[in-house]
Amino acid sequence: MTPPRIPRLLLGAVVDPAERRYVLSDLEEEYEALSAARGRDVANRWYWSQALRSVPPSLGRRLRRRRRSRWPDRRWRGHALLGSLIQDARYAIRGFRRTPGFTVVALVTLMIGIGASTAIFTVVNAVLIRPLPFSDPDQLVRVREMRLEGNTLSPYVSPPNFVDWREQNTTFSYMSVVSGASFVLTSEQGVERVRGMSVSPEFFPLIGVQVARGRPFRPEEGDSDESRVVILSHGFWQRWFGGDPTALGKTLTLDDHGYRVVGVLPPGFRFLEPADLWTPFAIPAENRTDGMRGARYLEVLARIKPGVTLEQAQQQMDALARRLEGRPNNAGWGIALRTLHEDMVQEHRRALLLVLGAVGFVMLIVCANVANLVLARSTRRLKESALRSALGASRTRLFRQMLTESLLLAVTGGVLGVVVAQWTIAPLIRLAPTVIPRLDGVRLDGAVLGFSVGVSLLTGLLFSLVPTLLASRAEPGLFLRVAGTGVGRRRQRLRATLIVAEVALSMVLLIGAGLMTRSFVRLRGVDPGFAFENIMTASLGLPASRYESAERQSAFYARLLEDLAALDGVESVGATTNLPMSGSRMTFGYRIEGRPEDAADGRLVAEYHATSADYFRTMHIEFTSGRTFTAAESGGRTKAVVINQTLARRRFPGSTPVGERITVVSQGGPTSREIVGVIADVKHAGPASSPREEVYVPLGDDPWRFATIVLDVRGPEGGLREAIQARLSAIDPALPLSSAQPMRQLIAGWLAPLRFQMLLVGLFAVVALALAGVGIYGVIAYIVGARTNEIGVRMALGAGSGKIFRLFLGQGMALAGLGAALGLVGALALSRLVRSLLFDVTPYDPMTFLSITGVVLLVAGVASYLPARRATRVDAVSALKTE
Amino acid sequence: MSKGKFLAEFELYIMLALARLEDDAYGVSIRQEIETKTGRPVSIGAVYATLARLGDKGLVEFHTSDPLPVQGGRSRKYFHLTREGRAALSHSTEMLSRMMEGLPIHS
Repeated sequence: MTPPRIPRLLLGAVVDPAERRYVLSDLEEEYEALSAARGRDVANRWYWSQALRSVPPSLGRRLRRRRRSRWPDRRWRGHALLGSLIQDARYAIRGFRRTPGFTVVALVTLMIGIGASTAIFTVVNAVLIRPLPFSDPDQLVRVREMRLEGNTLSPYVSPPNFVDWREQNTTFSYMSVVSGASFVLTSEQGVERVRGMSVSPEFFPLIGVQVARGRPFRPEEGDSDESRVVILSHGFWQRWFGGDPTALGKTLTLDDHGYRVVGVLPPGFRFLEPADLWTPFAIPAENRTDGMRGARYLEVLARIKPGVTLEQAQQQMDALARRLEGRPNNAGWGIALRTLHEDMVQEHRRALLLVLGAVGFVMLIVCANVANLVLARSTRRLKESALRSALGASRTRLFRQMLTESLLLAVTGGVLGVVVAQWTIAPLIRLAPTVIPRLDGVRLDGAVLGFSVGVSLLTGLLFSLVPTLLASRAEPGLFLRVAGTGVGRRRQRLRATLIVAEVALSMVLLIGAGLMTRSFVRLRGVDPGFAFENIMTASLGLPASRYESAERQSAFYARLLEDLAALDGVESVGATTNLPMSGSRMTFGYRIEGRPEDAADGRLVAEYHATSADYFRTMHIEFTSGRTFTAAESGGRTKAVVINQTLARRRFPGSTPVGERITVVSQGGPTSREIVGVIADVKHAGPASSPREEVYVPLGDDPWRFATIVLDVRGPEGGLREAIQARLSAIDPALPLSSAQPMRQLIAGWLAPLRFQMLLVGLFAVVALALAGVGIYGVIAYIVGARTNEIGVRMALGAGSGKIFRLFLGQGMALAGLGAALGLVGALALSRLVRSLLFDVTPYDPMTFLSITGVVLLVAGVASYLPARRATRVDAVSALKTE
Repeated sequence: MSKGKFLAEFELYIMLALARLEDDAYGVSIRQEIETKTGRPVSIGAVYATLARLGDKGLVEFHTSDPLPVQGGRSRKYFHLTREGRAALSHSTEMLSRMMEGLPIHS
């Protein structure tokens, strides 16, 4: 139980080094007591507040001490400079306290900007930047087969090719298969499903981890399925065996087989996904035959030899692929390498960088806004500067004073921002789609703090640059003169420019957010080709030991489907090997009978599904012609197949395919089947996917040891999972369900990434617009204040209040209009960046552009309306009196 | 007359806490004593900064304890009033009560 890190570091940095140890240890003592008495959250909040509130007294104490010791002791020349810096800082703090309105607005603005950028950068850092937690992670590559025609990557590798590569390559120090696995663990406490990984014996040396106890896998344990050994994760060893060292040599019953525990991994080790158990992945001799070369289903990881670059490795593997091209099913296939890190994050990089870019825009707006505030304040302080200048302060001295003020402001804003970020990260991660990898590693660390410090300093420099330069350029005489009237024309122009830039930037952000929102709405409205409301799904896997034969598997499915159909509130029940949008797919070759040109090896490939006859009805998938399987077909007595519309359209254009015969390859080899039906296309690989060619064969005819049950449920879903499990247990008590979730949830998972981007960019866009609105308000209000005399004169000369109102409203709207126009141009120029993130919406969508322009002008209107209104209330007499 | 002769409000609280806590006055106990008696949140940073200032004036001194003989035991810095400290405290409180004499705010 240790106190939170960030405030601890903060505190350590500010207190006197001689006292640091005692302060921290005292606080820790109280923290522990509080944590035990009232919980961790309360204690954490208390600690944060202690740390933050300790900053002013501790720093004050140190500054005073240094000042006292400065004069008698001038050992270092730097001390004089330091002294005047401290003087500047104290002076600045006094100034900030005198203008609390300015200070609070500036700090809140900075806090929002720096907080948001830090939070987003924390995620980007954990996902994209921080290296993987393995030794020499850049040498780890994912190896895949690639169709040379069109460079399409297959995610997988066939077993004989893997074996050949492993034996013949000169590129890798290790190669390993990595496969997610799930086991049914049987013990006296009952059955439970545990997550595991099945890996080649080379995996542990490949990844660079040594077992903490026992031994790693032996090479021969990767040759046959009969080795039956298991290595435990540290967590599982603790949970199951209570960390007992004698666990080694004991036996676990997994999928009905005894597995001997041979090792325990070090604590904290995980590879991509959490796993409790690790077993050797074996490639038995029968899977190494040429006939298996077309069966690409292995995920392969390799470590490039030290000193060999990725490019060299790729060239060597290209040569190897050409040598193996003559083998059956290998023609037209190459080998593709990609670093593991790249492979994991690639599809999320663009989206994350886009969000980071959006935050960058917000940050620029923050700079512009604070610059505006500082400018307004410095105008009011011209007299003071002029006085100091006249009393002999050098130009650099004045310059430094202003720079100190800006940096002090920025750094304080930065500290507040980091606090905000710390509080934002947890909700941010809850909101993030779970498909983004490495989110569990998101935390504030040195890199992030460095980033925040950098951003704060840069921000401070940026927003101080312009006003500071303006201030030190003028001569003291000018200061004194200008100070009287209070208006510098150049200053006003500068502020107007900043506002135009703010409006333009927020316009770009809003348009981006608008495009994403429209995409999201479109994507959510896509008809996937099946029903997802009221559909419950549950997957299960049959252990090979008890369900070896196809007959047993068929009988099991038939009985289960029948039992589930009898459940209350269940309209209909079906089963399939590959549920749409679940990420599961199988592809096999097929050939149209009577067309010899199609006989060429591997030319036609279709997504393969084995389903029950009622699957289509349950999922509300429509038949465009023909029908579903009959009982005879489901029993395999006559051979039937259902195809989808895409296959029908492509391969049987202008004719009806029902009644034609195709030969479909499956686990049992090629089988000739009659097409009995054609179904409407289903968006199998997500709502944005385009349909592929699909074949459906009866599950009873070609049963697999895994399937997903789908149920059309009328009535509440509550208790359904338990009811399904109960029916399942009645048939086979040793069989747990692996997952049960409503179809709706699967679809939501597909929408999650876009939803996340939309929410974040939208949030930043709204913040940007609000800041720009505040900016416009500030500038117009300032102009009104500065021109009070003029208004008085105009009114005295007969100008009506309507005219005055229009004058100032017009000024605000002119700025906003110019900014909006620039923003439109910017959005058009940048829109190609978001194109790949959009769905069914062009990046130039006129609706979005128009409505956003309207919103921006409306906000600008409101922001200028208020001060313009005030201008009309100026009393001509008193305005003239102030002259 | 330098302002060092007078005790600021928070300095006075700290010294009163030291007087009351006697041998058990260290960061935690001092902070808690003031917080519970005054009902105001007190930061550890303020406590140490003020103690250091009082130390500069020669009113407070400290000794450090060895780490406690338990696992993860901490070292503590114990503070106590010097002779000048005691004198200053009684001087201040006496002044205070003299100033308050006859005022209707006594409870």
